[in-house]
Amino acid sequence: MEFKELTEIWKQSEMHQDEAIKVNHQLIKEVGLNKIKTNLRAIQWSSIFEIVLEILFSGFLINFMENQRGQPAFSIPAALILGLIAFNVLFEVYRLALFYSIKTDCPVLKAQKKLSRLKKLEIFDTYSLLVIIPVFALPFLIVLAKALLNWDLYELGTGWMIQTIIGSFVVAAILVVIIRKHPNKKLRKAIQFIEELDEE
Amino acid sequence: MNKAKEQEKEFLAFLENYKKLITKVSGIYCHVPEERKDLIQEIIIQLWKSFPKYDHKYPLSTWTYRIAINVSISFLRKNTTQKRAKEGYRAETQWMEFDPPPRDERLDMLYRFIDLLKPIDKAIIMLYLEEHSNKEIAEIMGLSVSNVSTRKLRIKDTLKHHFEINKKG
Repeated sequence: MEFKELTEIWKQSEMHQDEAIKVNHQLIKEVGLNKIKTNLRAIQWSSIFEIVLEILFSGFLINFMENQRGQPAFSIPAALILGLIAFNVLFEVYRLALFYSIKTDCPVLKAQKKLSRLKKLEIFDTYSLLVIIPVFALPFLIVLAKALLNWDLYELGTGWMIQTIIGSFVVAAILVVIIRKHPNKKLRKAIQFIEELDEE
Repeated sequence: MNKAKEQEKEFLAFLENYKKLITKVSGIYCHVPEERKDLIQEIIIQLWKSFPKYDHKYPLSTWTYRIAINVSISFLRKNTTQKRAKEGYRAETQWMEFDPPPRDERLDMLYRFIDLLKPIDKAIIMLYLEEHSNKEIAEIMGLSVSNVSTRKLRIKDTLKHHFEINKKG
């Protein structure tokens, strides 16, 4: 079949179509276009909430480090967590900036590339969380026990700490393998989206 | 008449002029009638949201195509859109009423083969079938004119291949 023929078939399909399509003016007016929120906004609130929470927690950590000055056993875990939080704040800010830079009237490829990058960040976020939670659990425990209850977990010995760290890495590795093999629906869609656009 | 009312009137007139374009794009990316209605609704929402910021340096058709295609490519991956549409105002979703025209076997086949293409290629072939020039396609898609030309050749080959296989089979 020649391409000219295809164009002809295509053209035939739209004959009389204009009259067949009716725009429901009254309904559109009634629903009130101004009141409609788009789903694209869903992401922003969770990100903004996360950033605010992390900034507040950073203040708490800085205060804790000030109080524990000269005690590296406590200030180093706090500094590690602070570093992680600073990274995460930057990550979320970048994600929000990218999100706001996506305009639906952008050239298609540009908009879709940005969307694809946003999806990649979503995937990175999920995977990194699996590593962050177990690996940073111990510093969190040490800092929170000291700050909130004034308990010194080092008094319980260091053996359990070493075991926890090793165990955490094993758990993190297993979780990453599991999620790679069986990604959840949201992650699967993000991966599929990127794969479809990747060749662009 | 206040400004908001005037803009609403302008928008509805614009929709009348571009309703065919919207249904065409939605038809390329969505085949399930209920989901297609949701997609059309989503396109209209995005058009309305962008309407006051319309950049006059581009033709209105370029601007409309960009929004319709961008929303369509992203739409299918967004559960939230469908969920919201179902929960929110599904009862009022007939923003654009139409009965898809009866398709002959060849047209059905064409749609089926277009559906096998990648999302960006679907848009390119649709624009080509709509007889847009390479320059116009490049402007809508954000590609260079030579890139459009290369891609068109590749897509045509792919479609031709599908038709040939179908003929043999």
